[in-house]
Amino acid sequence: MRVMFLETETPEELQYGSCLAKRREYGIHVRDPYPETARSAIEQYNPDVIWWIGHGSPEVTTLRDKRVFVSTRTPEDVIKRLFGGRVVVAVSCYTARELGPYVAKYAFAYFGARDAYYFIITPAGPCPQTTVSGVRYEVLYNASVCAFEPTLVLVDALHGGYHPVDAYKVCREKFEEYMQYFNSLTPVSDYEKSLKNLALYILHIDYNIWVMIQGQGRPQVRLVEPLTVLPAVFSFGMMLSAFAYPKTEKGG
Amino acid sequence: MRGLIESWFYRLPEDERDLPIVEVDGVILTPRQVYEEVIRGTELGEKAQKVIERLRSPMTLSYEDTEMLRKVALERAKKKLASLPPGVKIGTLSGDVLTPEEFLQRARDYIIDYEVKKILSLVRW
Repeated sequence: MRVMFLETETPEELQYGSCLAKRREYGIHVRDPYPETARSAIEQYNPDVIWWIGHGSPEVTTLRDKRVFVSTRTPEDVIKRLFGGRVVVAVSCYTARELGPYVAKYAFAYFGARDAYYFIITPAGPCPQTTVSGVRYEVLYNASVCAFEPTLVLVDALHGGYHPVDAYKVCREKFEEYMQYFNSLTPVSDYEKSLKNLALYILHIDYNIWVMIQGQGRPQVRLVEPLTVLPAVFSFGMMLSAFAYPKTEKGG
Repeated sequence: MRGLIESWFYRLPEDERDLPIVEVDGVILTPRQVYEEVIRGTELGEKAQKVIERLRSPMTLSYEDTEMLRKVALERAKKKLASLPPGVKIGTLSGDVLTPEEFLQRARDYIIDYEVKKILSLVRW
């Protein structure tokens, strides 16, 4: 599986997500791309999976300097060229409402948020190397990355050959792992107590709005069959809500 | 009845005992305050105990109880986020950087949903 990371860094708050992508030792890493750089990188390297972080709205997602990458006004032939048969992971607010279904006409699968996607900003910065007074390093680190790491664990799973349906399951398990971590945390200060509570709120929201849209595009590479079977109600083009995630299993 | 509230109070996790749990006659009470009022045998304690008993039942919540729980949920959230380290903010991927107060306002429905479930699990603890 060829993976491409579009690691947007401007505005700087996006580094809370892109710093985690940079740590992946596989794939093609495109640093702080403008839309035209991203488009030519996709055409040049022909990835199977594209992950990016950028500000968004229901119709639009952006990259560096909030410049529009794609929108519901982008011509369909461009959408097809950029995303046809690919797995798209758009870490951006609201796009699963309108842009996601539009891209999913051609993509194999689209992952995105159907509401505002929240994350924690701390004085220690993205992927922090230092901590702040009254908060242990591990707690601060996990609070800083817990919103984004599940989206990258999703990509790790896709890179490892998982079908998107199963990769989504792995991603949700990562969210749950962070929830369990913060739920079982015994704070050593009031600062830690409040940070723990904030992290739990943010995980609760992001977990419930991060969805998969089954695409109509055929995958570029042969994928293994999903271990998890989608119920018939979730046919192509329909959104999988957090609450309705399939539970039945076909077995090995 | 007093014994029920006493055993319930001591079963609760310690960090939950001083967070708002119900509102009675316009007064928001924590489990510790409910327990103390019940021990003192006050009218407020008696009413609080009735509210908790009602919430413990698996019946559908009344409109009044739902509204009360939403109000208490927000108070819990304010209290929970009151001691964030200086400089901690909340970002969104639509370009906003929010203070905790703005976050509570913006994400209100999700937070209320989270806290109401938490309150109901605590009264049934």
